[in-house]
Amino acid sequence: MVMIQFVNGLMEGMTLFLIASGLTLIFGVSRIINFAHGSLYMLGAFLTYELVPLIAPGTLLGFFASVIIGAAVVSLIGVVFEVTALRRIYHADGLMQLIVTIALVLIIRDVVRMVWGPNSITVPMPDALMGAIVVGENYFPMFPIVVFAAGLVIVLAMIWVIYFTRAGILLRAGTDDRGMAALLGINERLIFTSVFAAGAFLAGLAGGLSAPYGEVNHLLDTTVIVSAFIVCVIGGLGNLYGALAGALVVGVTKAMGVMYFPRLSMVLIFLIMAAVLIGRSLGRQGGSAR
Amino acid sequence: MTETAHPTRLSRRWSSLPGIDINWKLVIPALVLAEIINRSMGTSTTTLLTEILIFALFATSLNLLMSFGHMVSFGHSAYFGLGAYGFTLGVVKAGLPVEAAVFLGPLVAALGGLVFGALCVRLTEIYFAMLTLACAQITYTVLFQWYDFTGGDTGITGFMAPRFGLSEQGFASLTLVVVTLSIFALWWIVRSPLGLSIRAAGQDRFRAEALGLTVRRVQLSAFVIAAFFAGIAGTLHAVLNGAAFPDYAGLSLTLDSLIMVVLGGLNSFSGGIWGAIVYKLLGAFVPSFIHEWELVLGIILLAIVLTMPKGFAGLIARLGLDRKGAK
Amino acid sequence: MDAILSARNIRKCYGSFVALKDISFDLPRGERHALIGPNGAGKSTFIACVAGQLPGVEGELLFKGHNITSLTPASLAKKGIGRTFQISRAFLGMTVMENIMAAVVISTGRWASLSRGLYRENLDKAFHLLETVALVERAADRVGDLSLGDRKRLEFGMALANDPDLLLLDEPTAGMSIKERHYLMEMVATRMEETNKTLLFVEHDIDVVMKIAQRVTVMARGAVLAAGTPGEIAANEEVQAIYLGGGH
Repeated sequence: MVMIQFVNGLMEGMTLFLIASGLTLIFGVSRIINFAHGSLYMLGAFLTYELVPLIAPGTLLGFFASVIIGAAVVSLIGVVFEVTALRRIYHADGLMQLIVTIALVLIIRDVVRMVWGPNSITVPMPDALMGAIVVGENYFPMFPIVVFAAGLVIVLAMIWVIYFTRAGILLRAGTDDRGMAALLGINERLIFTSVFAAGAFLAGLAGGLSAPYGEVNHLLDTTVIVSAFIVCVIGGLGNLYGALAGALVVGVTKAMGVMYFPRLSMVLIFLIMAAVLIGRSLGRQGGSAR
Repeated sequence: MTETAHPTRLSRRWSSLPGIDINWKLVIPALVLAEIINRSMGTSTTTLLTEILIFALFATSLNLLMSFGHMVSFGHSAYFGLGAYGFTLGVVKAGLPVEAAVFLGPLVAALGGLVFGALCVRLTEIYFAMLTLACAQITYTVLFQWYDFTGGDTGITGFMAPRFGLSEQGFASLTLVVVTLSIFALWWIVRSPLGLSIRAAGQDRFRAEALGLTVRRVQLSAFVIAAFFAGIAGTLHAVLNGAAFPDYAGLSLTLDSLIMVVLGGLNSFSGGIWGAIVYKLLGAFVPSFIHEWELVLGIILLAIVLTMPKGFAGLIARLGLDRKGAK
Repeated sequence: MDAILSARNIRKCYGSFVALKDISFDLPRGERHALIGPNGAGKSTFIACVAGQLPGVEGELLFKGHNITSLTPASLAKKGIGRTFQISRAFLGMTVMENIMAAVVISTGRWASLSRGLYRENLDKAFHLLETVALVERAADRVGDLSLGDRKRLEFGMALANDPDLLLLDEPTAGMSIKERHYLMEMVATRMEETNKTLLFVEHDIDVVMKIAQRVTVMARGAVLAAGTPGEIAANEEVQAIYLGGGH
């Protein structure tokens, strides 16, 4: 039981990381908190639900193909939103940017309710991932392990893109100093749009990957975004490795906490976050800087 | 000393805080009109009026933080919920008489504001917003999951006659009085030295600190005050329904209040009031035409922000409904 | 010598970069003292250290004989250190009078008061401050509508609200016209003279420094290069070489 929960926690942590990393990347370049990131995650799950029966149903390949195509569609939706709405208010008050993303949350939620109805749906798990790996007396369910591994692959791919490709260099230039990026002749708009697309893609990916392992309904958006925010606060916004650590801590704590304090696992996470925040502000003299 | 600037004349001029002068010629007829509507129209109108009043107070309490303290709280519903549950549990668990428990609600909310606020004001801007959100979600989760104490997701019902057993009209009148007095108190606070300190801390914390202000303490005061008045709104709402539900502390209520403040106009005291009126009226009439109310609301919000990035305040100023000029 | 401010081996590092290298410095009470030096010399960093703005400052700062090294900006202000910022930091959304009144209210320590009577009690003081900085006519204007010169004078007025014994001005004249510079700094000097308070300011305009300062400290690359009267500094060849040659 402990092992099962641990593996489940790792998987949840990994999906949380995929979401939080998108939030963090977008925040890093544009200083915008995308409140609709949970909605994009939810869309990923619903699109996967639609695609799984169409693409080689039941097979592992079909599942991953569905997830990736779903995430690509989510990414496209993200780009449309970025180009038509967000782009126009990059220089407005930060609150206005938040309100625009909240508007997107409302729109996506109602569209999802219109298309898929108010009840939870279930996404079938690919046959190959149904079982469990037995090591001695411990059972490790397959599905979360595979999702965790897929997440790791994505993490490595992200690190590669960010540190070893031209796109990554541009991204880091844009994150460190917007003026500098402009000086280097980098198309700021293109960076914003690409980062938003990438963030939306990651969110869609996370939604699709975790869809078979829980309830999928139109209320998913807010639960997910709150967890992702907590991850960002623990890890520090704009800090990718912090987000990874934070996500795994939150995921595992949530899963393990359910066994010991079934009612209060969220409170546990809150306490961790509070401890991190207090620790961080004590580490700063005066605490008023930033 | 020049003649044009005699201190007493000056004292009248400088205190004209943008958007905060009470236009009594507008306020008194508005209050009278509200009471006339309450007494002359049907029950459904009265209920809508009561809700508008309650949410006008709730949004104004949030507006104290947002427009004056420049603290974007993303979890203001926590204090609405704590007010409602403080009152309800005071009756159900502590066995207080209903009349006494109504005072407990806002106090519990203020206490919650003190605990969460002490944590939140250690952070600024987006981290502050995120932490307030997390605090609210924790409140919601506890209310939702702690069956033995809070009744869990079914809430607490049937412990009192809704509205103290008053008629709809009677309770609407009572709400009108309570909300008016509360908003007046908030108005008083904004104009007081405390309000000036809150605004100073909100505009430039480094400047305020260099002048000798302990910014965190000021922000915490603002937070507790806002929580207290949100708690009054929550208590009123619990009395209106004779019930309390975890949703009172939910994220959607927080979003509602944020939207109200933005709709009504940031950086003006009356923004929360206008926002509550517009939002609740839309919410009452749109769904009878179109089922997808949130979709419509989302599109309206997009349209407003994209066409008027400075919010409704500018529009209201142009219409002359408010003394405040666009920022 | 009665030093109001003494710095002992002040050191501030950003990672491996040493912004201040063991600065030791005594500021006598009542003096008008200028900090000059090329960009990146550490002048503003030093001011920020004294004002309690920076974490991780090594060394010891004594103000009126008390150790103030780890105090917050707010408690330093209460102890009698006033300051203005390099970039004008008045409360832009409020009127001139509200800015002054906020400073006055904060200086009384009664920021939590709910009584508007506090405004009435302090109106004369606020008005007097406005007179001091020649902004009476603009009292009801929003700070956002003021010129830079007016804003800087307003900030000076706000810093005077709690009658600081030591006033720190970080490039008070940056971005102003020559006429405005001299106007502001003569106003500051007169006030300091009248009230016998101490002034420490960072300034790039040598003419202003020569006119206002009684003593000058030259900094370069995080260290004190020379100190003396304006005349001595002007005649110092080392200073001329490094500061006048390298600064522009």
